[in-house]
Order: sequence, then structure tokens, then C-alpha cells
Amino acid sequence: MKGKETYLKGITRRTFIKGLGAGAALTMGSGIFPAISKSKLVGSVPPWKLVWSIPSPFQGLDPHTAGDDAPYSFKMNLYGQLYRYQDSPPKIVPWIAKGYDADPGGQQFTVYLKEGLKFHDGNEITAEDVRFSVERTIEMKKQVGGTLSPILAKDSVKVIDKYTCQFNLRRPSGYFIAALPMLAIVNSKLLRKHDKDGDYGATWLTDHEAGSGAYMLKKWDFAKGWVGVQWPDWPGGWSGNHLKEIEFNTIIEVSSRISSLLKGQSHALELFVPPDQIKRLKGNPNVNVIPNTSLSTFFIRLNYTRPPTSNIHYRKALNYAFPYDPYIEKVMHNNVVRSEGGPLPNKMWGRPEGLKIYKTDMEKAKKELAIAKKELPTEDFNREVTVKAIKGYGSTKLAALYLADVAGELGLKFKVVEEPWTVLSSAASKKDTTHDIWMHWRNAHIVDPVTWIGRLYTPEYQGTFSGSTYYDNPEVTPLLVKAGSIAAQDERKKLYEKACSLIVEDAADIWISNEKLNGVFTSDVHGWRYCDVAFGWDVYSMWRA
Amino acid sequence: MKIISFVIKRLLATIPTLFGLLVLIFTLSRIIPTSPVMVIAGEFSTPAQIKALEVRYGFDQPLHIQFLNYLKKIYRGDLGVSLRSNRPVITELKRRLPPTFELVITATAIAVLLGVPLGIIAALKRNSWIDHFLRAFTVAGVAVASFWLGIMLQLVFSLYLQAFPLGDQMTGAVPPHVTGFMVIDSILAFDGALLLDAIHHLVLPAVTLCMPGLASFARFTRSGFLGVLQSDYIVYSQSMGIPKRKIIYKYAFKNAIVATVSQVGLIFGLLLANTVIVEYIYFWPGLGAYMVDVMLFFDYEGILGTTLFIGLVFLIINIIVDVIQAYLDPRIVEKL
Repeated sequence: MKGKETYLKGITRRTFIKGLGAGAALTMGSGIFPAISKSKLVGSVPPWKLVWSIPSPFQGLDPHTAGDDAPYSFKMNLYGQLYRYQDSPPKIVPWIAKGYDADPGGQQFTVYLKEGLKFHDGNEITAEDVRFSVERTIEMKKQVGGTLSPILAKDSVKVIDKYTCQFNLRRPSGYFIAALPMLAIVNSKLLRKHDKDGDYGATWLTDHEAGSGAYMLKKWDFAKGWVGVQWPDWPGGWSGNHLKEIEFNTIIEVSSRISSLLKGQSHALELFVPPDQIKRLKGNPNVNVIPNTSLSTFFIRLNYTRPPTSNIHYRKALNYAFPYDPYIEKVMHNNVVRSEGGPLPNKMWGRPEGLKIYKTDMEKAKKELAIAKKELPTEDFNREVTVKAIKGYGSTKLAALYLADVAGELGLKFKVVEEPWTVLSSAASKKDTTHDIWMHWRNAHIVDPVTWIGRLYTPEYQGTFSGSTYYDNPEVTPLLVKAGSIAAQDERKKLYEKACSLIVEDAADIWISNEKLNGVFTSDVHGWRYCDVAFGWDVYSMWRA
Repeated sequence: MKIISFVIKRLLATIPTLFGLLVLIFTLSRIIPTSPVMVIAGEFSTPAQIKALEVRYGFDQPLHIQFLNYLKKIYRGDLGVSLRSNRPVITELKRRLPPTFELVITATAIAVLLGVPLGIIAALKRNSWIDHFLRAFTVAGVAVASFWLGIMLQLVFSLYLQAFPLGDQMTGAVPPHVTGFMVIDSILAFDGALLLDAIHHLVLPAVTLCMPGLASFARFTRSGFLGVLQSDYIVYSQSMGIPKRKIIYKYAFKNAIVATVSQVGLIFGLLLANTVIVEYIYFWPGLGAYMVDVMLFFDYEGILGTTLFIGLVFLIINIIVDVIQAYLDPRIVEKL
């Protein structure tokens, strides 16, 4: 064999060429990809567009049936309602409606529409669209239908004339107007055209829109999200600063979502970014964190019918034992505030003046427990109690562990179990399978005490997760039933205040906190109007500098 | 002929396998004490509403009637309508499968194209520092958590170095839809910029996903090669003065690679399962995230439809792998 040529001692030509090739590739690679990243190919988002990244997946675009939080993004921007909530504390403002008359009994409401308003396809918004929207929502029996079905039936709405409709409620209601912002008004002509076997156009509307909002749908990918563009004929006009295009997309993983914000690919995140991430983001000069105390409450539910929590003193003991301040400081990093209103949010009317809430006091807890021990059979008192936390929501697990820990100090046996929300909520709907102790939030959809105490502490909602504790206090129930069914707000206020006091005295649940919802934006985003309802996702007033 | 009859037998065998899978998943999903109807009914639903929805969706029927109704739909090629999205499951799968398959195929290809040569090098340089390094690397590849690796790659290469995109399949523009595979659709559209963008977006997720597969292929190839290199015919070839390169690639490779090929099907399945995590991190609009969603919310039709489809794909991949193995090692065909 011939001797190998060498350029340097021990290095063959083959080795040299290989090394040269590898070096060239490395050099090119280190230069090409950063160049691509910075180039137009990867691109930056133009200043007239805002990208809002949220963790919830989009199921569909139907404003009457789509669940979770994501639908609020298109309900507030692609659709209009008769009335809408704005700002905080939320005010109800006329939107498609211009006003209403109510009969003194609170069972009939005549609503007058603004004239000349149109849907995106040019069809005028009339009373028939309102009637159709109500009928559709009630018949679909999902989401919004559930909220409205106690007071509205399929045929509750009568068209009086082109711009006037009459709502004949199933029963008198004090919160009817407060509930109207939940109902998106849909284009009845368009949906009838796409009706398939009497489905009210549901199949078509899953992937299209039939709205009248400030933005119209430009692009929709159910695996990612939607993009909207300004509707040129929006009655509010487009003078001043506004976004030409908006995008709501899903990024499930929180670290990816935050990286997207830091990289400038997203300009806004959901309002419930975890507290430890909020702490980190606050230190970044390119990020604005805008805190707001919300109407969202977090509380621990105590089974009212199954011992030992069926005993009032046992429940009081837990209320006194729970370490509220450490939980708020160490787990939630002060990203929540203590519930001062018992079951009601701190900002909600219906909370009596001087309501005495439970504060951590182990001595009082022990005293209450001693009474409970005398009153309960031994096997019931000593029974191991299961505390259920929601899988995937670390703060609930920590709340459960805190409770189990203090229960242990009191000599009680508590076991913490995590389960998915679907399993928890399903089990909570039956008396036999409902939980000893579990926890959840209550968000603001209807800004009325009925949301917090009307639906949680009356027998009407037993069989749903709202009524999971099977709470039934003969003093409280008549107050709440009456408060939900009369129109006179002053009288309703008094009834709710009395009911609230009784429920707190009863230690029905452990009310821990009101959530702070943080608006998280890149520093070039302006004009955001926070609202306790719909997460402040109405972007009409927003712009990027 | 033998191989054709083998393929036909295996294809026929998929039917009872898939039926068994269907029965198992159907039963498991129904016996878990949960009601998906409560979720779609909403937070403020009433008991009457929930009951009405249960009747509407047939959940008030006995289990065997529900199963028969589902089988009738399958027979018609209908995988049902997703409870959550009100969209046919087939539509969901059509949208989400191509991104997942693009990712898994790319990751598998990287795992094979890197893992096999690394395994060969480790075998040839046995007990050298290269061998030790590669063995440590493969152990790390199997041990490292995908979610950690994915987040680290995102932070380093996307956020800090700005060298790669954070996630998703494309930035902005997408090629006209033909297959749903961004790389293929970009090529079909003759658009170099889009092709580059698609590949650019694939790199980090594919590298994250391929690691366990790459490690497995490297280890299997190494042990396969070591076994073959000690065979009598290899020693004889060496003593006859046949060049080392020829011995490795002509004589040893084909025999050593058989065991590795048998792993391809299993690795493909493993990577398919791992897409859940990778798709979450890189907000890749594929099947992984959808599967988690339907399972968390007990969307029965979604669960059954995706399980059935993935089961079918997995079985077909393994048939293909068996055929390739039979081609590489004719002795396998003799045993059929």
C-alpha cells in the first residue's frame, strides 16, 4: 500500500478535509440560524396587531355552547350582547339594546333595540335575532343555556316590533338584566341558512361566526386559535388608537407562554399567570403587570350532610384552624386577598356591614372541636376525612395539604387526594358520591349575589357541582329563593345580607380568598380596560405603541 | 409469496386486536365515575339540563346498547362527534394527525440516522473514550425528561440565542394545504422560504422528541455490532485481508442491523406517546394535546376515535417493520 499523504505530522489528507468541512458547517450553522431568526422569515409582529396567548384550548366558535374561558375572547370581540359589563367594579352598559322597561313583578321585561345596527354580513339586528338567540341558547342546553334556563324558556321572548322584544320570564327574577350580558346575539338569517337537521346552525357555527362585534373573523384554526380584523362598519368607529388585527392563540405550557411574551411573539397573557411567574415578570422592564382584585372567589366546600362535617362545630373548628395568612403569603405570594365577605366577593353587594369572618385561632378551633366530639358518635368523629384537590391546580393541592396539616394538629385524620376536574364535578353531583371536602373557584359571569350564594346554598342546585355540599338550611333557603325571584334591589340586598350572615354563622364552607387577576402585557400595549367579567378580553380600546 | 401471505395474515389479525382495544377503552372510559355531560352543560347547569343532555347523547342507555350504537357508526366509517367541540372526530384527526406524524417521522429519522452510526462507532471503538462517552450519552438520552429537555432547548436556543423559533409549525404564512405536512406542502408549493421556515420550526421539537429513540438505536446497534464482529465469518474475513470498511458495511452491517430494525416500530410508538409532552411545550398543533384534552374531559367519542386510529397506525407500522426485517434476514421468511 502507498504511504498516506500528510499535511501535518499525524494528520492525513482525509482527516484534514473532514475537519475543514466540519468547521465550515459549524461556522455557517452558527451564522445562518440567528440570521433567519432575525429576518423577516421568522418575523416580528407588526405594531397594529396584538397576540393574546392563553392556556385554554379553543373548542369551537359557538358563543352559546363553547365552554371554558377561551370563548370569552370571541364573545367580546366578534359578538355583541343586549347589555355588556365594562370596567371594575363592573357596570352594565347598553350595547345592542338602548333600554328596557320592567313590570313591577319582575317577570316581564320589554327591551328596546338600537336601530340600524348590523351583523358582519350586512343583515340588520332585529328583535327576531334576539328571540332566535334566546330560543337557540335554551334549546342547546349547554353553557349559557344553563345559566338562563331557570328564568327563560325556549319561547320566553315575544317580538313586539322590529326593534322591540318582550321577555316573559318563567318566574320573577331580580337578576335578569345582570344575566343578559351572557347572551350573545347571533345572526338568525345566517344560522337558518346553515341549519342542519334542526341544529340551529350549530355544526356550521362551530367553525364560523355570525356576530356583530367590533372585529370580524379573518382566520380560524381550532388547533391553535383565531385571528380577527377590524370590521369597517363598526358603529363605534375606528378613529383614535385601535388594533387593526387581533389574535388569540393557545399555548398550554406556562413556561412557553411566558417565553413567547418575553420574545415578543405574544403581547398579552391570561389573567391568572401563576404567582411565582408574576413575581419574575414584575422585574422585567419590558413587561407590565397590572394587578386587579377580582370577583373570583376560592373556597373549600364542606359536606353538610355527611359526618363529621355535618356538625356545625366541626365545621367551625376547621374554619378557625385554617392558616389563611400563610396560605395567602407563601402559596399565593400575596396574589390573592383574604375573603372578607364570606361566600361573597369583597366587592359584591349583599355583604352585611361588620360581617365577622373566621380568622386563624387554634384555641377556638380546639374548643369547637371538643363540642363536636361530644355531639358526634365516636366512629363519625374519628372517621378519616378525604380532602379532594383538583389535579393540575397546584394551589388546590397546597390548600388541601395545609388543611390536612392543621387537622393533624387537632388530632384529626385527613387524607389528601387529587383528581381531575371532570371526575370531581361528576362525583359532586350525587349525594352518595359527593366529597367530604373539596374546593373550587367561583368566577363572575353574572354580577349578582345569586352567582355566589344563590346557586351554592340552595337545594335547587343539588345534583350539580354547585350544590355539592347538599347544604339546606331552613332559615337560609327561603331568603335566597325570595332574593332570586323579586325585582326590588333594596329588598334583595337585605335578604342576601341576612342569608350571608347565616351562612357564615353556619360555617357552611371555608372561604379563603378573592383572586387578584393580573393583566400581563408587553410594555408597548396600552388602553386595556379590565373588567371582572370576561377577563377584560374586549380589545377595542387597546393599541400598541 | 410467503411474505405476501404473512402481510395478509397480519392485516387480518389487526381486526380482532382493534376490536379488543375498542372494548377495553370503551369499558374503561364508561366505568370511571364521571359525566362528560356535566362539563359541556357548564358551571351553572341545572339537574334537568344535565339529564336532558344525557338522553340527547344516549348516555342513559345501557352500556351494551351504547357500544352497539358505536360499532354501527364505526361500520359506516363514522368516528362520532366530539362532545367538547361538536365537530366530527374525523375532522379533528385530519387536522391534528399530520403535524404529529411530521414530528414523529422526523424524530424517528433523526434517531435512526444519528443513533445507528453512533452505535457503529461505539462498537468499533469499543472501550475507548469515544465508546464511554457515547454510552454515557445514550443513558442520559433515555433518562432525561422530555419536558425538561424541551424547556431547556427553548430557553437556550430560542429565547437566549434567538437561533430557533419558540414553537408552532410555521411563522405566519403557511403553504397551501395538500397533505398537512408543512415540509411536504412547502416542497409541493415550490416555496423555498416556507420550506426553510418549516424545517426551522421542526428542529427543536424533533430533537427533543428523538432523544429516547436515538439512545435506544445507538445502544441496540452497538450491541448488535459487537455480537456480529465476534462471529467466525468476520474473523475469517479479517484474516483473509478483506479491507475493514468492506467487512463492516458489506458483511457485518446487514446482520447487525436486524435487531435494530425490530426496534423501529416500538420506538415509533414510544415517540408517538411522547408527543403529548413535546406538543405541549412547543404548542405544536398535533394530536398529543388533543388526546390529553379529550381524556381529561372524558370526551368519549374523542377518546375512542383517537385510540382506535393510533392503534391502527401502530399495528401497520409494526407490520411494515416486520416486512423490512424479513427482507434483511431471509431466515425469518423461512420460519413463517
